[in-house]
Amino acid sequence: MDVTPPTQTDGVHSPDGSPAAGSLAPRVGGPVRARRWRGIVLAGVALAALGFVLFRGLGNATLYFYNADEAVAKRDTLGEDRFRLQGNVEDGEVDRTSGTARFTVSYNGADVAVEHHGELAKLFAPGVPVVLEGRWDGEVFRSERMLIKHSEVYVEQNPDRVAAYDEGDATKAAP
Amino acid sequence: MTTSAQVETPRRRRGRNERLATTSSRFTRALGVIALLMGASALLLALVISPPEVTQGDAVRLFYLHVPLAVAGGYLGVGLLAVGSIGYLWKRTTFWDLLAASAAELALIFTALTLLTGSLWGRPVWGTYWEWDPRLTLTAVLFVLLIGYRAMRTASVDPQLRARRSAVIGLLAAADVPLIRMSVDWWRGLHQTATLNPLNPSLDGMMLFTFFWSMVSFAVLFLWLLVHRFRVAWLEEQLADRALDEAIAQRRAEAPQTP
Amino acid sequence: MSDVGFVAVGYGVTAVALAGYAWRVLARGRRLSALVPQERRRWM
Repeated sequence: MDVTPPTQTDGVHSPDGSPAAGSLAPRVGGPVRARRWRGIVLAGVALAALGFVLFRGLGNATLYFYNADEAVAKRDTLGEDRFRLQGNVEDGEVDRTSGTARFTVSYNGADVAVEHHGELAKLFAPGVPVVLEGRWDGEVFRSERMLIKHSEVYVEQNPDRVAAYDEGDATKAAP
Repeated sequence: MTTSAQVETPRRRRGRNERLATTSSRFTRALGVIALLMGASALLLALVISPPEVTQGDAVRLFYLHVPLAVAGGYLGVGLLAVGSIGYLWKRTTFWDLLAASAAELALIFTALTLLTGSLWGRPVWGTYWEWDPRLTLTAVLFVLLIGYRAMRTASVDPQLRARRSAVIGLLAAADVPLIRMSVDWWRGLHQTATLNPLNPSLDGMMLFTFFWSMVSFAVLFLWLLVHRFRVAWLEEQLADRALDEAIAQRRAEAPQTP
Repeated sequence: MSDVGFVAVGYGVTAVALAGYAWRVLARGRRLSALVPQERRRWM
């Protein structure tokens, strides 16, 4: 039986081959080390991303928006600051002239006149809650960005239901 | 002739081994068929049968995709990651470590798809792809933690150390899920609050059924994927053990022949 | 993009991602199973 030790070079041990006798430590060679570095780099990127996400997120998370009544109460302290304002779009005329929409939002009994420059959200309509990004300009809130605060309630588009609502019997429409 | 017999036997055994070489079993095949049938019917319900929503229109169809992905990734995926991590720290056996690792990989994929589908739903309904709202931010944190979990497993060479470190990161990710769940109630944001209130479902009949069916379909698909992924991890572990045994044998053979 | 477009992209990307992942896991399982003796994978 041939028991001649195989002569190999593995990059860690010297070419004349004198590994520690009986050492059972796993061989750590090129591929394992490369894998390890790839993991460390990936972990570094993940850590940096976590920092970024926390930094961006926590800045907003504490107070994402003011409700219309709070924004009115804090008008003096807010001054020229940019903030988000939340309220329901009031029924009534939405004046859309030359890229500006004028409408009123209300929340908890406070009405705010809004002048919105920019894209109108697709679901923008009277009765819909909106979040507007902008600042006070006197009594008027000037906003440049509009987001819809959609509720968690979903209602089917359903001919029967529309008929039921038309008859003014909305409660019966619930299944 | 002895040589041909010696060659013949291992070859035949290897052939049989290869024919049966799969991570499937009778259980996973049954689960796979159920997942496929339920998935197909869920697609039909979500895209064709269920009606458009009054204000959202057809965009509501993303609801039946986004929420089940989030629930499967967050509750099932991260939940089992937590179970595996606690199990490992308690029992210190490979089984729990591999369960945690498999669940974490699936949780990463499902969370990535949750963020993507949420973004695609947010654009038509909210008017934005992304917003630093509490729930969105915390979900991004979960995603990054799961990437970190994976990175750490790749970076660690020693199996015991890797398992211990992963269990800690796994529990960190698990701590984020209740925060995501409660974020819509605790802080103001753009994200709507929970639709799934068992006492008072805020969904109409057909929508509720489609939503429920889709949730169960994704759960079954998740379990099917998890069993296969776990078995792959198990096989890798077997091969790593064997490679270590061989390395030890080789090193012994190389050692000076002094008894 | 219309609502239907967003829905199509969402479902399309999810289907491709999950099917691709499932395929990769199964293929890896087949490849590794062939290397591991049967008595060490007892789910068969």
